[in-house]
Amino acid sequence: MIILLILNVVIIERILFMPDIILKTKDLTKKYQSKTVVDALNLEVKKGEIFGLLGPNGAGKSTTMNMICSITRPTAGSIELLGADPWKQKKQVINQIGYIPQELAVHGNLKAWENVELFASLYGIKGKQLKKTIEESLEYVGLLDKRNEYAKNFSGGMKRRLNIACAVGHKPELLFFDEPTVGIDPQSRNFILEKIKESNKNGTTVVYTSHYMEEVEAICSRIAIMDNGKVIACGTSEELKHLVTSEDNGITLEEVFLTLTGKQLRDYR
Amino acid sequence: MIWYLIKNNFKLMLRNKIILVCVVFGPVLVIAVLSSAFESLMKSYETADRFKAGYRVQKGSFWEEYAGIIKEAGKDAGIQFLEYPEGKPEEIVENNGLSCFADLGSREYKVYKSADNETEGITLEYFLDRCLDQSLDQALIMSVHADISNREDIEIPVQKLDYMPAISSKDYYGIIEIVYFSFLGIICIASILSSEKKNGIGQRLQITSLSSFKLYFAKWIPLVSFMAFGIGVSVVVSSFMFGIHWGNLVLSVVLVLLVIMAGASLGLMFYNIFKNLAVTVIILFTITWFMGFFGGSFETYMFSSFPETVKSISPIYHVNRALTEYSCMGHSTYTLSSIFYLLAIIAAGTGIAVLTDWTRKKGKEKG
Repeated sequence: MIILLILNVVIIERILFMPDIILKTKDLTKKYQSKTVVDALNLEVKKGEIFGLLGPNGAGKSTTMNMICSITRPTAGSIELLGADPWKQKKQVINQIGYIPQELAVHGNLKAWENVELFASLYGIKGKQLKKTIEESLEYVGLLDKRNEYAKNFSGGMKRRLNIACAVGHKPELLFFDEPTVGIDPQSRNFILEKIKESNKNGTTVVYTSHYMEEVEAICSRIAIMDNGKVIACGTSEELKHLVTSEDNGITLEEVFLTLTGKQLRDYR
Repeated sequence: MIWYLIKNNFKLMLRNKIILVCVVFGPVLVIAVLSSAFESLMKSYETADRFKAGYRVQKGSFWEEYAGIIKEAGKDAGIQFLEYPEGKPEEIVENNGLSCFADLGSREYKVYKSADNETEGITLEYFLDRCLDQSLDQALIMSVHADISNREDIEIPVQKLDYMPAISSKDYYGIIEIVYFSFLGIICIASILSSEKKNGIGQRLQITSLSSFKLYFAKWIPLVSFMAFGIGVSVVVSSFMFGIHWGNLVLSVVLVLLVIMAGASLGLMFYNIFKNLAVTVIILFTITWFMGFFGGSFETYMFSSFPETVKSISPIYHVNRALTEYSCMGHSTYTLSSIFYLLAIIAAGTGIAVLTDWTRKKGKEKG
């Protein structure tokens, strides 16, 4: 009886305190002919966190994201996304994730609201719900007053924001941002980062890749540094700093990154 | 879910003003240029229709029985038949100022023509062929009424031979240019395809549950709708400006619509294969040009002796022939073959386009 009681307590404790893993990759590998782009990658993203993926060009960040989002099929290994295999149960997973690509994947000759309508409708939203979604998405990225303007007339920052609006309409549980702040002004960048934090507070898990160390440090709860297709370090910003130095000497994340990945140029093609 | 994609793809096409102007006014301009450029040439062909032809009939033959009807039909077709029972055909033609001579056997004929009256000879051959084709129907009518034909109180129905009259250059080019433009609709979707390619929208579409089949129709439906709208306006404008006669309007609309669908299917198929709009347009232009040129575009005055087998394998020949026959005769025996050809192109184009897209996606996934 006592043993049973203890067992129950242990099980309940494990359920209550076990971090809820929303994304898990095991030995995830991608090979293009003889070149290994992602090499036996093991990652775990917990529910409710902002997970940063850092790495030099060609480290395999985008390929990893593409494999998780069922764009590029892995050569080996497994992915568990929201409790399912995105390659075997694509329909089950697809409506729960949002993907913001590095390219500005919007039609210039469509108005802001039409772009959101087009992409949100692909997730099965229609009618009045779709109209509401368009309003909410544009409001979320601060473009509601520009709803009737053509995307081609937008500035770089506005296009980036519209790019985000197109991916969040279906209210995904997990958002993938692939370098969403490239080539935009500080105000737009700050706005986007604030919105990512806001989404996270509202319960959305975020996987974020960027070259900008300070923004990764500012918003990510945990960071994985990738190089040559492998995770070479993973942890909080502080944990990563302690990998390089045990002293509190004001080392920046960029210095940690350069120490771990090296200072030589990467001529990636 | 596909409805919004269709709607927005249609908007994207409609907002490309240059393409819209090209679809509406392109055919009008080409019709104006070609119909006036070839007007004199087609008129000379038309005048060549009115000529004198000698003939000799074998006694008791099919031709003797219907000589009266055939002579009457000949008048309508511009052929004045003159009988010469005796003499060598070559000498008869030379001595009587005839364009050609027909030696009519039991159910066959032989046409004598000189080198400088080639067109008249071909016209006579074509006319006699049509007479033979329709002889069975005529024979049935005539045999029913044979016993009563000499009674004055009974009116004998006289059926005219179905000879295709010459078509005016405006009607001819007005019709065939609409067909050619309808076949090249893929150009209209350029704005969508280039935007998708440039902005990496294909990748975003991949993270949805859209199948290759749905993605294909999300482009095919707006493309066909846009072309139907543009070509429709063009037909109205050109008909109003040049007075083009379409004959059987319902069948003409059906055929032109099927041509638009076939062109869209073929265009999307080539695009899915090559993923290059320039290559797609060049291939489609080349196919249309060859099918049109060697398949009867200039049949009225050039290549009129081009092998029938070559013409018969050109879908555009069947469509052009059907539509021009509607214009000048009101009906055509080429309707069914045109529909068959176009439906086959739509089915094959769609199948290959979807399969290619699906295969490409699988290939991309594998890297």
